[in-house]
Amino acid sequence: MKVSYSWLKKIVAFDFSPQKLADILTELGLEVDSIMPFGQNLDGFVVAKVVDVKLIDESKHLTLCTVDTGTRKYSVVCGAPNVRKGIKSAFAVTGTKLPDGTVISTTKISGYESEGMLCSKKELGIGDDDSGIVVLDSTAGIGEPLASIDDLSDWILEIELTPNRPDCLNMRGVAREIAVALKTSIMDKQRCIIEDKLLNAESIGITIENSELCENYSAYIIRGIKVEPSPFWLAHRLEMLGIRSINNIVDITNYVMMELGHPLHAFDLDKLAGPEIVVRCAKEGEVIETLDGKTRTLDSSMLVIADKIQPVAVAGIMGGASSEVTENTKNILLEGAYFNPVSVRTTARKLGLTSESSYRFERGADRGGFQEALQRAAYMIAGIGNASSRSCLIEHNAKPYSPVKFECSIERIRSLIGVAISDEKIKEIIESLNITILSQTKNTLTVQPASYRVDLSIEQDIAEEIARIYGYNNIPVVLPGSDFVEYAVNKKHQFARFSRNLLVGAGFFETVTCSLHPASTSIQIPSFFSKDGGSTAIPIKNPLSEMHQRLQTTLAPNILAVIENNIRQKSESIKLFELGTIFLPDKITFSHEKSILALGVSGQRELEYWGHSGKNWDFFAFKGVLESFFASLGLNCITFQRTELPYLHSGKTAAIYIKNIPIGYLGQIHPLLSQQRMLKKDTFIAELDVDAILKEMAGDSKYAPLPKYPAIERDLAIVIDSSTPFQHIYNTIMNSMTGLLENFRVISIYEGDPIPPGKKSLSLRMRYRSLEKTLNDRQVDEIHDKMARIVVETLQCSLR
Amino acid sequence: MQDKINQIQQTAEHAVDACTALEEIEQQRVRFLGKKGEVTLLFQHLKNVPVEEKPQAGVLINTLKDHIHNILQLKKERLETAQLEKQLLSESIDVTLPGQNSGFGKIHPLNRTLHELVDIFHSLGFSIAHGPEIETEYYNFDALNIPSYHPARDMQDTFFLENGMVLRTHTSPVQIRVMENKKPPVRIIAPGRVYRNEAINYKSYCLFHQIEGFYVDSAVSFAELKGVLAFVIREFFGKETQFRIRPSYFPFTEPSLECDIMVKGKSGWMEILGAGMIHPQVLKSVGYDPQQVQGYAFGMGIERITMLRYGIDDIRLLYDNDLRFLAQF
Repeated sequence: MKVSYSWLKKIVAFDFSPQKLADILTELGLEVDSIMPFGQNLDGFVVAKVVDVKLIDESKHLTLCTVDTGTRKYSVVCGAPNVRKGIKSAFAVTGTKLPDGTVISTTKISGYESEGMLCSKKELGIGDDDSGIVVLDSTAGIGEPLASIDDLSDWILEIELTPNRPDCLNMRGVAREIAVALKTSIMDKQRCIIEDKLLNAESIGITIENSELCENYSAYIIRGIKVEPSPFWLAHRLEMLGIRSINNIVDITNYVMMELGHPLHAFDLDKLAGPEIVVRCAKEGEVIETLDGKTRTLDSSMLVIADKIQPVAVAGIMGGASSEVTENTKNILLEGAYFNPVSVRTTARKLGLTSESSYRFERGADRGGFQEALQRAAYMIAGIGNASSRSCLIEHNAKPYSPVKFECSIERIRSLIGVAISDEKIKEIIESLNITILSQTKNTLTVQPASYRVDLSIEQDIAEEIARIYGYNNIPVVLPGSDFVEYAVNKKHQFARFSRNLLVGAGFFETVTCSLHPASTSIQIPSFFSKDGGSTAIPIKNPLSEMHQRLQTTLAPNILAVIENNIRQKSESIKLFELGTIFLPDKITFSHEKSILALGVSGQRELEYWGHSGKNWDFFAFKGVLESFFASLGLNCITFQRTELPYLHSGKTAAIYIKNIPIGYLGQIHPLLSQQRMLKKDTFIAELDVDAILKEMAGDSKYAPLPKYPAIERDLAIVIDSSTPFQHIYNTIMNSMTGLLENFRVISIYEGDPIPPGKKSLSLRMRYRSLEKTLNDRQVDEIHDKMARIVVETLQCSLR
Repeated sequence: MQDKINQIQQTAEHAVDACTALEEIEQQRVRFLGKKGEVTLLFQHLKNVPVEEKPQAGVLINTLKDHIHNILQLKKERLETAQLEKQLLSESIDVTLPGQNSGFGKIHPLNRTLHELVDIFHSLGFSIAHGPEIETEYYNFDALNIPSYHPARDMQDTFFLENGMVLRTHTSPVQIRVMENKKPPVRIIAPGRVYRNEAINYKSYCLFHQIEGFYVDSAVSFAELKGVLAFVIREFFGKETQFRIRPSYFPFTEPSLECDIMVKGKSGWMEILGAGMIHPQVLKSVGYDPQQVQGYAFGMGIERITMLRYGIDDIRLLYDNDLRFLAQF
């Protein structure tokens, strides 16, 4: 919300700078977002009276005006449609610099010399209006510098107001806060209270059908007004705060709203059928054209103001076009009411229609004090609008306001804040905020906040008020107590940290990507973890864009996208991992959130450097990373089996198992995908189910004693069917001669001449060790021969 | 005899001194100490020496033998050292050539921030809890004192899912989930990903990360909250970082605050977190008695803190994962 620095100064006395004011407001919880100069470049402009106007070019609406600045008269050519004899306007003599930097020079226009310029608000930098020249109040002194005119040079503070403080959505509310901070009070004098000779005894029927939605509806009838443009000062104050000036009547309702906070509405009385006012819920399907020119269909939950026949306003949100105040309006009904915040909010949301009025009502208006604003507006309209008569307050009070009262414990307030603020100080702060202390026992205060403080209803609210006025920054910093609270290590966090450190050490960069995907993702890259590949991934009802329609069921698309982006940036070596969450739809729990670790590599595994060539990634290099990772986690029950995924190379993809449960996969991307996308063919990807890994990691592994006796190695070469997977050979061999065979490794694999087609030759280096004694050569030879026989028999292979 | 010994000693000293290679040392050893060497021959001459002089002559010859042995050894070591130095010199390389890139990776800057913050909170005795990213409206809003008609719901643009579920807009639901299952005292932080339906531009993204923290016990105070925040800010941003707190509003805390910091060398306050004393309505919703317990809660955005710390001016960089960017942290 915007507030005016100079206007505030008229309500509460202070003499510090706008910046200091902003600091004070921010410390009070009214955070000032920006301070903008307004009309701060008015040097050289003076008030001038237009003393003569001659039309010189009808087609261009050009006039030759004579303006009087008191010291001399100037000839000025003016194109403004609103220039007329007798008005006072802003004059820039030749040589004056406009706020936009233009310097006024003497020029000839249509053959007439122009010795300066009459300026619009836009040219002066005091508004957006460039439809005509400024028309100053008739009281403005001829020849006076424009800068000396009240309010014209100002600072506008933009306050980011929290939704609990509707009482500060106006100048007086903000001024009240300043007054509390300065330990002073606001000046409540009003600009145009006129004693009424106009009073009449007129009334109008007001019916409230639902007192929950509208507690009180009050009005004035004002007759014989003249609707015209607002006086300069009035329009100016609204425009400063970003509100467009419409006409004197509408402007006064807006002015009072900005000044005192309560939204008001003026109806053209003669267009109200009856005339009478019925505050009721709309009939289902009832239609109203609102002031913004749109036709809106209402439902029975929406509160409207109706006349005898039809709705004439959506209560608290916007008036109807049929009863709009226009330049022909003579008589008005001025409305001031209290509408239920939830009702206003719900209706505004349903209609997709918000206004300054609804913004205030839905946050909570001053239900106990709004009639002051209504009365003020009525007086101003009667005065500024030159009314011929005005009624007394007409009121239907359907549900009398009862002030909020509650108890608060001084001890608890002190305990919450943690500072020993004295009883006296607490009471002083409470009273400075217009919170009445109704009664008091030793430790308990019964308080009644002012009606505009809709945010105060419990003890903690009072604690905040005390802390706020005492000063948040005056509360001492107390170091956290040493009370022991049961502490638990979080396994998932620990795992994440450990994994990050391992993978970073192995050269991998961590990525963080968006978990919202386009709906089409599952077609190209279906999820390994979802039974349907992610085609039923959870949709978002109100997605930000087509790119963000569904929750991810796999991290693979993002890993590939990041690889692709980095290839575009000419990265030679890409090693990535991400720890993320996938969302699998679940009939019972709606969704199952799974933690996934994804890895992706592409391009060079080892970068080339002088004297050495680089090495590209291949399946086994990537698998080796995963195996080392599992080994570091202490997982030794991992196995791999061929599998297929649509986006991976069908011959180079493996599912990863822990004890026969699949926990993820690794593989090379499909050559077609690498062609479609800007991906290199040696791009590999893996995804692992972190929850499954954590489950397996539950226990600590136990220490195995170091061997006391030496190991001896012997090589074994076998020829076996090419199709026999190594895993089978491994299992067979490791299950033979247990206790003597420690392990073995593959030295070479060979296919081709002289090995027969369909066969492969494997050289294995067997490592034997006894736990009981040192084996001598003869013993090892015997063991090795036996091993060879078992291998030949069980694997149906031959020795070479 | 004495003359003979002196003469051999002098000859030997000269000869050894003149050696320039290890082979020459060996030649000299053979010449003096070998089976037919000059010193060995002296021992043979000993039989010609009168009996009474024999012991003394024996001592002299032995001393000569030891002496020659020692100078040979010394010279040998000197030559070996010289030879090794020469070899090493010939093997010297240009140490200023670049090394082979062993290619360590990097932890993402967001998680770097997260780890550091978690360490600081661990040192204060906070445990970690996690909660789901898909939440019910109850946990995300209602239990946190944000009823459906409340204007505060507008403060957070929400992604809605089917069945009345939402993507959590903050980590505060974890507060509720933890407190529902645990009696006070509880002292927890809850890091995690949250979502907002906001247009993507340089300062906002459709998701970000938060750390929620809260502590509930019998007499936890606002002043203590301030102490925790001051500690965390100074530990993380450095001792010279100034901070201020100002009143604010969150439906789930009362009193509420927002905290700004001014990093050394920068002008202007930057908002980094929101906090407050947990609203009694929130305590009631988890079955705590607000007359018996009270506590504070805070929430901070990891993106904002990371950007502030590293001077990152576009939030999208954090999700683009350009290696040239990631390598900088």
